[in-house]
Amino acid sequence: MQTQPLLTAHNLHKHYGRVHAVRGVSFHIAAGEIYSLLGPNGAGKTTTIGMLTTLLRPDEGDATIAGFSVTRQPQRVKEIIGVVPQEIALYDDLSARENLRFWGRMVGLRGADLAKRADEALELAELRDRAKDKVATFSGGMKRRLNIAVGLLHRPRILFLDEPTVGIDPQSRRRILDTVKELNRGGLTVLYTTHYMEEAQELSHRIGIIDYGQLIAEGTLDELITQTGVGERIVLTLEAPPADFAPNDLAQMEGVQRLHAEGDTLTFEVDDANGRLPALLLHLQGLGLTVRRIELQEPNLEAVFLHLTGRALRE
Amino acid sequence: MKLLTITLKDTLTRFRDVRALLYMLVAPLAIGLIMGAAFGGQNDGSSPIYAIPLAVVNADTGDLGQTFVDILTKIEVDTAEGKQSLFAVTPYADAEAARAAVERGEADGALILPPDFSAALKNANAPRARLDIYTDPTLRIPPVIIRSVTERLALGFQSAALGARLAAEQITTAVQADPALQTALADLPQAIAEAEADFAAEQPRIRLQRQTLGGGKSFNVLGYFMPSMAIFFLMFAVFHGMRSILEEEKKGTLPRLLTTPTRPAEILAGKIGGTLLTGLLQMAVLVLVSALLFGVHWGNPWGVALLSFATVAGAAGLGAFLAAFARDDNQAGIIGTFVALVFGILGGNFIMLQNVPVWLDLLSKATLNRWALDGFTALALDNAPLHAVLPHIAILLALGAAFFALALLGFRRRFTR
Ligand SMILES: Nc1ncnc2c1ncn2[C@@H]1O[C@H](COP(=O)(O)OP(=O)(O)OP(=O)(O)O)[C@@H](O)[C@H]1O
Ligand SMILES: [Mg+2]
Repeated sequence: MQTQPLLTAHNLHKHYGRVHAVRGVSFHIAAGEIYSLLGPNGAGKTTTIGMLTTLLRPDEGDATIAGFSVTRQPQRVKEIIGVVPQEIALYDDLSARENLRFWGRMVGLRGADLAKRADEALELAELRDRAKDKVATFSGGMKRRLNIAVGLLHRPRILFLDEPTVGIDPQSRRRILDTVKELNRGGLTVLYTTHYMEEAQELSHRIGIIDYGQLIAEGTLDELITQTGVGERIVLTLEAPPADFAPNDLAQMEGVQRLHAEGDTLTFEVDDANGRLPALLLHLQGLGLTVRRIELQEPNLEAVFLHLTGRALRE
Repeated sequence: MKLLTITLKDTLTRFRDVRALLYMLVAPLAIGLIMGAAFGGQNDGSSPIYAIPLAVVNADTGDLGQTFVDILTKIEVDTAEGKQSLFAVTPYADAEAARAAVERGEADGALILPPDFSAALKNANAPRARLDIYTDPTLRIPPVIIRSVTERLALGFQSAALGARLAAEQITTAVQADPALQTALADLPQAIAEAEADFAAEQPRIRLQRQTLGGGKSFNVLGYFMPSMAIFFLMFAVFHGMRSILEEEKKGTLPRLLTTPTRPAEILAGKIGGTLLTGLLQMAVLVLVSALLFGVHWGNPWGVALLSFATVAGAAGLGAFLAAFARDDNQAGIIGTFVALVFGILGGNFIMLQNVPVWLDLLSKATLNRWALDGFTALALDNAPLHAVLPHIAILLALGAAFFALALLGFRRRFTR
């Protein structure tokens, strides 16, 4: 993707009182790209999206979307962005169709165009047969789908999706991910935030890892793995390790790049998982420890995150 | 227009909400009716009143006092049962006895003609005579009639008697032929307003001392309770309307609106529009239903319409002010409920504030409810014309505008990113 970036964020900062929520975030998204911001709770994802969608004024820095500045030309920016907020922002007392018609008018649609787009949106959200029902009667997944459909009504050039799959069943999540991919194939640029590795891994062309308000790494999945040099992983679950068990000498073993111990779980980052496993198991046996479970993992985002922050990225 | 879209969305939402409808429409109608019924089936002004029991003390040492009483006694009105005397006059020996009769409920009012009544009328240089009128505070219509007719009659006496030193007979003829008195009797409501205006304008020879006797009983007139309840419950609905800005902020629909190409001012105007429209529809339904189903007489339609609008606008301004400076919608709700209750009580929506200390009266006049209620009762009970309630309308609108201006400052501070 060598095209001119559709979105460029430059040195964004945002404070909430004394909390420095976003500390100098810069990145760009090319037209047609799906870019994921991956980070744990409170990392600053929503705050960053808030600034990019003109909702929050950056304390420092600026961003442009299609050449329009979010701070100086917010009105122009609003015309080309679609926003899907993290919290479902719909009117519970209105039906699905009424919501779509209301939000459609707010983005400037009217008449036959409005009716057509509302129908398309109902189709997309798979809510045709529930069009007349109040949103209050919908399941979490249905609300999430409608929440997304509202953001697409005016066919934006870039869609901001803030954790759109939180708290829904796997089936609904699958549908949402497929929808995003399909929209992207149709040319839509997407900024997606999540704290689910698998989603970021599956969807994104590029991923930005955000932690404590800073973008600590960025690139394609392969690039991230190469950058961080994370290897394959061996995850061992021990049977009742003694309380004073200190796995320090394990970290010194040959081929082990990194060891992360948490409770009864030992995660080894190694150059060659299959090759190093026997020696590790023997060593543990020599210490009188029993291994309950063995798991081998390809290098993945989780490993990248762990490598970068020393913490596991979990829900 | 996006403004209108937001206005209609809010209005539609409110009228779909069964719980909201309960307190917006059902509660005021029901409570108004119950209060009206609880205090007895008092005439609500829709059918003519006659034979109003009136205690009269004629202490006049001259002859005009008796003439005055005679004319009062002879006044007739058309009723469903044919021509009837307007007043059932009972003579009493002294003011004390007459007042006691009113307090016992035997008379709706008492009229006391002073010893110098004739003298004052016949001699331009004599001190003015004082006519005392006492009325039953638990009644609404009879006191107005007693006052209005007495005032009109006194005026007639004054113009006929002054300087001319006519004989009693001639005065009777002159007064009874007085077209103004005839109009007054034919159209009492009109006369009530007229007489008060006239009376204030001219320097009377007779000074009327109006007094409502103290008493703990409450009013029992739908024409008083319906507007009271309408105003009281309107407050809640309108406060809720403005508070919904904070609800939308919390729910995330306001932030989402702000990411659409809709100007913030348009969003705010739309929310205000929705509140005003909801309030107006609520008032319209309350007025129409109470009038058509329960025969409540609201008075001059233009007056009712404009006063309703002014009341809704004033309350919306106050609601916006509360919302703009509250921490969140919960706090705004609690404060709003408190304000609505206190204003309802101070404004006389539950207890008629008569003969209260000056400070309480002033406090009462600081509430929107009081101005609205005074306006509505003037229209409903005194049949006041539109211009008589223009001051009330102006005050309500001015208060509303002031509150809106403050609210705007608050909202601006609140929603700057
Ligand atoms: N309105 C606010 N007032 C004060 N602090 C806030 C506000 N919004 C966010 N924060 C703080 O700013 C930081 C970043 O929050 P943000 O919501 O951007 O994180 P996030 O990455 O979206 O998290 P999550 O995954 O939980 O949605 C957090 O420390 C949060 O507590
Ligand atoms: Mg968030």
